Amino acid sequence: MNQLGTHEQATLNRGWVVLLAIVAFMLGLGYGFYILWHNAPSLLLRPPTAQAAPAVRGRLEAADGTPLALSTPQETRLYPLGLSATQLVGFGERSGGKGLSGLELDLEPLLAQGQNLRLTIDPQVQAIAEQALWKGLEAAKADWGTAVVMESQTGRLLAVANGPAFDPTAPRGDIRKDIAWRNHAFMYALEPGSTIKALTAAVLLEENVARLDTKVYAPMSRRVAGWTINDVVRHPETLTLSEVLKYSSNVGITTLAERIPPKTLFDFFKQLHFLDDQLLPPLSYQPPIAVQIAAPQVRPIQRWGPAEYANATFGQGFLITPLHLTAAYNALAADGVYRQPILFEGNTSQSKAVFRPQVARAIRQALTQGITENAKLRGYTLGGKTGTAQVVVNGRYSSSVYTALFAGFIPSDTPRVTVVVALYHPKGSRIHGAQVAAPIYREIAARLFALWGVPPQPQLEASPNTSKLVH
Amino acid sequence: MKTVLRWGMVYLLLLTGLTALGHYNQQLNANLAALEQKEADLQQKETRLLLQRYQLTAPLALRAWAEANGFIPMSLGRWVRPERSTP
Repeated sequence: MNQLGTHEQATLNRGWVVLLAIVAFMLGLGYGFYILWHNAPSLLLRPPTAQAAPAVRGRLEAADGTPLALSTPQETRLYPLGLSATQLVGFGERSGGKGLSGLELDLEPLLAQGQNLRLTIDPQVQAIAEQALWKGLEAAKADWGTAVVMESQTGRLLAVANGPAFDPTAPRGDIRKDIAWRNHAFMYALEPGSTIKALTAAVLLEENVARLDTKVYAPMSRRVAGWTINDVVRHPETLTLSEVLKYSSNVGITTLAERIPPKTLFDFFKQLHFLDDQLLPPLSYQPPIAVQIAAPQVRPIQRWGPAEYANATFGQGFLITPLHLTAAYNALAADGVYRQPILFEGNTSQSKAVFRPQVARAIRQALTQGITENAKLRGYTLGGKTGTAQVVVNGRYSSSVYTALFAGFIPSDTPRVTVVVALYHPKGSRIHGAQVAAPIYREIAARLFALWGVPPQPQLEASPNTSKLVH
Repeated sequence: MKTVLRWGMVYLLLLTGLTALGHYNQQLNANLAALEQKEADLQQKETRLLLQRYQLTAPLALRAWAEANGFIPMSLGRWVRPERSTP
């Protein structure tokens, strides 16, 4: 050792360096082990980094629990019933599923939160209505059509069928040209045509200004305020109110309707919710969430002149959706009580008596006796009214575009359901409601009776059967 | 020198252990990835089968099948009264 003590100094420095190296080595090694542990593939060792999974988009279910639209945990939106009820349910964005039409759009805030909703739709009734509608639509070569089935005593919508069929999973074209995606029953307001005559007749009976056997002079045409009103079906010159409905006489109904002031009919239209665009009860008031219905277009009473009033008595000059028409006809089925239509289980239907029970029964009886041949079903009591409404194209009534309608009850003596069928722009020689819409109603009735297990009544059979199995 | 060798041995030993553990982890990871892929495939298959099941048993499909097989709704069918043989 020298006097400066450099030996001790050097030894001390080496010891520190080695210690430092060991510490660095241990730290590096520890870090290596830590990384290995952290990235270990074993699920038990892995730290809980995964956040709570976002809620899967809510399901839409039919009344019996059958899913109409559901999402998998991978956020794939499935429409299990294929083509059934697709226009009502609607569709969403392919990625993310955000609603773009139908209930998927209207109920977006609820579905996005993962809330499931149960509809009143019965999948069997829906399929029956769709099968009949699509078949009839093809035969009539119509642009589109719709059929609504409403349970008479509760106001529940059992089927909202639209055609042509729409596949929400198929590639989409131009949605302005191809309107197969639209729920016409809710989203298209049309002139209901002669189907309204039954309601006008009910108003006349309710106001005690006519009875079913009240006679009226009804030539094939008459002039009202400079406009000519024509009848289509040949009929005797004098008709009873029952026959006015049977022959669908515009002249007869407008003449009889002059016994009441226009405001009376307008007030009944109000009571039947023809001016109401919030027909279905909302699902939430704050924030407002409700199923969208096209706004009806009815002139205010101040603008009802004699011609407008005459038009209104046979369903021209104002626009309502097929859903409005179904709910109004259901008032006749429910012995005069208007029931608010409901689409969701748990909603309650508001009701209000509009006609006396005997008035509703009398009109049903008249519609049963005067039912068109194409709507008759052997062994059963059916009743309803046809309608063929002119359509305004480019500001004028078109001579080629019509809406063919049929509104009726199944059965008509003690109705279980009310049915409205509407076909837009049928083509060819058969364009009238009695020719193209009534057979669809008949098909629906035949299959509903089979579904309910109601056998035909032998006393209602037209002729004794002696052939083999026939249908 | 001996100290260096000893520490070197310790270092190599730990390095070998670390390598072995890393290799084991990689194997587990590959195994897990394969299992996750299989799970995703099975989920897809489950979704496909679920959809197929609903579509095959949907009322529309059943009605089309019944019609194709000649079934007639009870409300439309009429049976002939059994013929009696003449005495």
